Amino acid sequence: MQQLTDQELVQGVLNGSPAHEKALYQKYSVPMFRVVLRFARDRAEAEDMLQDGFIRVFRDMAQFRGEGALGGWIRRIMVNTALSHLRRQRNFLCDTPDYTPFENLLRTEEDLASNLDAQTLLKYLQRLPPGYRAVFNLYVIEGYSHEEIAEQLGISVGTSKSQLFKAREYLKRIVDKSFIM
Amino acid sequence: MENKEFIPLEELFRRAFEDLPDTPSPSGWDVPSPHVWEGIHKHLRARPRLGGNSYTIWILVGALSTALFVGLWWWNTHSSSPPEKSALPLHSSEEAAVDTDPRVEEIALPVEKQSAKSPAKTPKQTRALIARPTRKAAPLPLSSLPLPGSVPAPNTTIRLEVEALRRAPWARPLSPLPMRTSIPRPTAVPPAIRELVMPEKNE
Repeated sequence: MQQLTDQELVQGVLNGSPAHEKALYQKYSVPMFRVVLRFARDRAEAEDMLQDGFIRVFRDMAQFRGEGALGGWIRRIMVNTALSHLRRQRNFLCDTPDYTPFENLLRTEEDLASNLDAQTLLKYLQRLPPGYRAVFNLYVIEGYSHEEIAEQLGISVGTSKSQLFKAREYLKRIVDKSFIM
Repeated sequence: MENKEFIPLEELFRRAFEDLPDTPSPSGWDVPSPHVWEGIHKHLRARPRLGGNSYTIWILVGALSTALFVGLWWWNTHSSSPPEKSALPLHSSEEAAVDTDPRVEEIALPVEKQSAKSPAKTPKQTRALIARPTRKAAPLPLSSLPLPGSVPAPNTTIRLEVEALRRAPWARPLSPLPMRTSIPRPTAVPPAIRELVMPEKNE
């Protein structure tokens, strides 16, 4: 299928065309997978988030007014879906990192060669506890304020700030160590 | 929106993820596996497609509301119809006999009759008693059937109602009160009687 515009894709999905559904998925699956990868612990969890997110996109397509970009609308749905997944985790907002110690994540030869690219940084990010990871992503990359984060996650503004502070410290130590090597 | 000042570390992460090319990475780390689409496709095929065609929804809503309207109309007309008369017309005297005969009510409504503890005392209850046997009266004997060619009795509902009202316990004239008799108190007992009744205590 030739490259379709967002409007054509939306109309096709609303008419129930499977070809348009697949075309929309193929157009946005890679950028949205990058988004959910940052929120997920690993690739498998990110794929679950992506699947649920696209199901919501197709289900709620009639609510898209066309006022903004389709990509931005889908991205918001993906972020909300990822946050729903994180909230369901038992140790969400746990203060103690119970993942692999960062010493084990020091840069390998491949990481050195890639000079801290997105894939490497993603690996570091995925080792954060879910609460740190969610707040860091929302604040630094998605551009949310602490008030918005608190509302989204159902926490206080103070908790959001403290989670961001701890995430920064944790990531700083990982990155510093990897530069030392 | 608060004014954000990113530290270099945050800037590093932000730029790394925002400045990614549109094309997927050659290593494939940002390409989801095919089973994601399979799962989405399976879910999309499983759910009923009602949202895509608004005509279907409107047709369904219209059909449902029509069926509901017709059903309500049918129920309303059939439930509020007057009680059916017995198949055979009754003569006025026989009808009155059926209406007032307690045995008829026992046949027609045995449970209600047994549970009733007091007779009807208000006009409303009396009217209800009149209406009951006309619905569920026992079949009449052949002798009570009208002769061929005879004119059926007119509608005697009002007359029966008046008759029943007249026969109701509260409508009967009160029986006269017993005459109040005054017993004269003995003022002075003749001495002869006193001697007979009350002998002398001195004895």
